[in-house]
Amino acid sequence: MAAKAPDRRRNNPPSHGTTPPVFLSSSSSGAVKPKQSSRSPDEIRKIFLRTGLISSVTGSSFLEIAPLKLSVSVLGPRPLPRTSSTPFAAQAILTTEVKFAPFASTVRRGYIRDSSERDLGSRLYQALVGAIRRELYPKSRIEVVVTILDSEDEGDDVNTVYIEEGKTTVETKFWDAGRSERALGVVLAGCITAASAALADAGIEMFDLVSGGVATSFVDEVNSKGKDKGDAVSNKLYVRDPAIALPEGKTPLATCVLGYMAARDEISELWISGKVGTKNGTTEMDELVDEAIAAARSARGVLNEAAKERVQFIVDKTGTAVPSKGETTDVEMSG
Amino acid sequence: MPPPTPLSPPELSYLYASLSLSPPIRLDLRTPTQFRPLVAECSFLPHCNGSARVCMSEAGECIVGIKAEIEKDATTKYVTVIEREKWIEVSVEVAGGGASGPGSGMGIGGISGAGGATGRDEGDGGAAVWLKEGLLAGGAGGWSILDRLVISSGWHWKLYIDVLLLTPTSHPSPLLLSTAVNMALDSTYLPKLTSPHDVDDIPTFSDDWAISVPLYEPKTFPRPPMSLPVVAVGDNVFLDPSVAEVAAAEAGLVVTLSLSDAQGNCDIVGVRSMEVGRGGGKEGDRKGINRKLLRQMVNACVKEAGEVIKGVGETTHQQMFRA
Repeated sequence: MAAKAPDRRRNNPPSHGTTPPVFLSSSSSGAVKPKQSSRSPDEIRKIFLRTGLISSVTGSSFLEIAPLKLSVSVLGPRPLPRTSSTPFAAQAILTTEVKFAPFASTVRRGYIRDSSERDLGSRLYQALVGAIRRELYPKSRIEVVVTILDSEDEGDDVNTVYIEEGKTTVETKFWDAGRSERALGVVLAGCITAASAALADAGIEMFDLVSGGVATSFVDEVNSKGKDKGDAVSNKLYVRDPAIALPEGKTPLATCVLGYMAARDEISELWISGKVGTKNGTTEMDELVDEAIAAARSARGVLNEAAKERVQFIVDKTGTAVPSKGETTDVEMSG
Repeated sequence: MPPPTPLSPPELSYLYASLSLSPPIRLDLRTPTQFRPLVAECSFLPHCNGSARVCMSEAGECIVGIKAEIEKDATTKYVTVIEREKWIEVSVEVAGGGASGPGSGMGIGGISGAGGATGRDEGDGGAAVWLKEGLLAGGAGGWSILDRLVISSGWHWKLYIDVLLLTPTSHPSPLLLSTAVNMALDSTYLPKLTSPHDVDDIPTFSDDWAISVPLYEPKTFPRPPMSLPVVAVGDNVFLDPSVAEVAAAEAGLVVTLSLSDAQGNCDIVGVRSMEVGRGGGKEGDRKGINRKLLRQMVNACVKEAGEVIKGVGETTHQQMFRA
């Protein structure tokens, strides 16, 4: 008698175990309000970055920036398959792949990479390919695989206009044009930073570590609607590492994402989307790029610490027979 | 990725050397900011609201057809949901299917499909993504093309922009695709609405094409965007690079601009880095773009773009069926 038919004449208990509900002591005090970001526009969010978490691959890292969580694995360098169709490669072949987990955003993602994921993959490739000393690894392949476990949402209802039934006018008064760019930008910057950490963890030789930075320029809402073009330049607000929610009363102009090699002062990947005026030559773009670089520099501090932590761990392990526990001190961001 | 050209290392090195001279010598003896000639015609497909065909000597040939369909906003019992980003759909198809020839790993336009071996399945690559991005990005803070697609309450146009590359073995430049899309958009007409704007019923349209409404009203700004590729070798910056120049270049960008006034001033609506071969230089020279070079590259585009976009616009207007 493995499975008994439920007894219909009695109130049956649930077939599985239950957990008693836990209530907050008081609805007013315990309810956690979503924190309104109190950081200043030139401060980036705190980053958690740790390497070497996945033991089955050459190098790996895990990164968290507020809601964004992603893990990177680096496979290789390993030899290319010996088939007649494989061309000779004097330099290592780098492949990058970015995938959102199906549960990473409110709208479910399929298992097959969609166009935005493929695009992120090629952006990441562009950011890393120059930094790796590929000529040291001929006839081999390096694979970078990024899995995004959680992200700040891209597809919820701000860009969707809800009109109540009965109202006849369609006025799409508000449209956050830069929303998906900001969301993808933060993801891409995170991918770049984490992937460099993972490459360093894999012991792959690089010219420099690449860190990712994002910045968005905003103007006052009134200015954008009015006809005054270019005058809005004066009261531009630049936000580094922008959150998905808009600052009060502002509307986005342009978002800049870049991969930056701080030691060489070079940009390996650049992606600007939005409207950048050219009244004063490229000053407007320069300002935006400088902000993004500043964000990337801040992220570089964390990246350096993560790489150092790992090296320290390995040195400790090989130097003294007893591996000292990897120090887990948090790094305070210095803005 | 190895450079997608059949050029040997000595050839690339020679190319690199001649391009980094001061003044530089390009293979086809163009000046650094000179564009290649192109053949372009528009509104020739009878079944489309707008169409264009652009043919460039080396970069190949492509046809763009734009079709508009009316679509009802998705309505549930209580709310009407308007997802404006889905009102425009861009697809890039390569005739003959799949990989785009020898440079297939590079993807179309060299700024996509860089996933290496996995990039092969991409077909259209990121080309559709950046073409659409340029269209929508201009809408940041102000006028947007999406405003033009509203028909009446509850109804909007849905634009299908279909790009067909006819020469699968060539290396299509971003310029080819974006010029074609630019011309097609510029020559797109939508039927004139005859029912009132503020009524929920199915909209009705006039079947007289002589009074149809242009998608981009002529003589108004901004105009449809256009993407210009630019590469750097040494201290020199080259617009509209050829395949060989891309292979030898150290850094590349695709700058998307749209005309903002009649004087030929442009707004930047997007910048993306472009994949280049890094074929000729010595190892360890330059791994990215520094800020000075970036400024130089974007400046070159901004300076030349006005004339180029205006020129393409004039050609379009001369050929338009109502001109």
